Amino acid sequence: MSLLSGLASGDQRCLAALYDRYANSALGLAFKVCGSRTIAEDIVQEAFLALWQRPDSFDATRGSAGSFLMGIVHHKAVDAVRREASVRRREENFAAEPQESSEDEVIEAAWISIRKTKVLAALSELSLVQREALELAYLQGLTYSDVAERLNIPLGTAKTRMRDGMIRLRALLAQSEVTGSYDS
Amino acid sequence: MTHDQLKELVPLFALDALPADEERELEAHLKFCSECSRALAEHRETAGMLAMAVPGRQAPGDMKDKIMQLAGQTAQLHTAPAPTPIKKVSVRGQRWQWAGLAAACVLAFLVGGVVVRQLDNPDRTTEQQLVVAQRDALEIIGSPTSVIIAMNATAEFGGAYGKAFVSADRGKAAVVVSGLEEPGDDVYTLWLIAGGDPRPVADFVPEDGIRTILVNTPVGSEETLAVTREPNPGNTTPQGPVIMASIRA
Repeated sequence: MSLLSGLASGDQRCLAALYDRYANSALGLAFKVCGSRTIAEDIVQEAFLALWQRPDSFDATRGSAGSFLMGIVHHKAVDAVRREASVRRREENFAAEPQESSEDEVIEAAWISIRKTKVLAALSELSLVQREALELAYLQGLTYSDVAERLNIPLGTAKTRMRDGMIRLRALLAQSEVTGSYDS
Repeated sequence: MTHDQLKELVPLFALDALPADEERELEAHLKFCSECSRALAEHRETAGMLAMAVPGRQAPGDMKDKIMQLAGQTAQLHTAPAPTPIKKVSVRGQRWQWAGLAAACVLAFLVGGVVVRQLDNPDRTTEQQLVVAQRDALEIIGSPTSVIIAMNATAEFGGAYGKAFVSADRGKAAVVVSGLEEPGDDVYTLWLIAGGDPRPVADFVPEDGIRTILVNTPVGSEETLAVTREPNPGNTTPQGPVIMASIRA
């Protein structure tokens, strides 16, 4: 039984397992986009609860649970950024909080590390302008029109760079078989 | 925007990089377009991979306990099954029940995409149109050669339901919808969707939750009928939620 199907049947242990696997990555993404520790923590909490509350909203045939969860986190973080520009104030106060790691967490950390290496390798294969446009959009929560303004390029050019970058990245990740699921 | 223009925006949507108005327009399109929905799933997977390139942050020690505690207090919501097609229902009695429903309600048929109301349009031509439309609809509903297609409600609108009676030989269809809430300042819109492109058939407001709509155009075997609740009449692209839809087998 996959974690998501366990979640759908109301098994809280599956929620706990998903948390162990993805909480740190989710928090890293939320913080990167919104720049506020407090808001990032709220976003991650809301995302896991949204997953718990509406487990049917995830379609296992259309991607992995990790990507689905990250999509929720990213969307909420972008919403927060656009709702309140002031959250851009960086609070680089993420002091490491030493915790004991379970065996599962260690395995997950290793798996994420491998994936991260492959994703970074794929990103390095993109053209500089494609990578720049994707990073501005995804990591800073900018719309394509914001990206165009920031880079002083026409709207169509910004859209093309982002679209082509995504298509190329998808192909590269497929080649390196990174898009596998780790949900069961 | 056209299907092709909206399809171009899908990778940007996966990055959450669309302005709000374009995001809404694409979301409305995605409700109908399986091609764009599939593309979005792939691009979202790619975007999810991008998240892995971001350094993780150590979550606070008590976050997991908080989430588990809140989950324990939060009921899970399960969506109703997706609309399923019923291509043919050869129960003649049922066919006439629907004809009765159509006839029993105040018939304000929609002809050629224009709302025609008896009270609002007392001129003779409109009355003639109504009589013809009413006769056409009842004949289509009662015809044994009409194909009946169930229109199932989406999860949020479980009380609504409808049936489309498609007459290939007349090149028309009659759609009877029921269980609709009063839309307030909104209107309901019937759409005909071919190849992912929704085309508005008519805006309508139900009376006592019911409305019959005569579709004066052929409904092809690959086309889908759907009803949305729109913030404005005359929308050429769906912006509101899907209330019900038919999906062919």
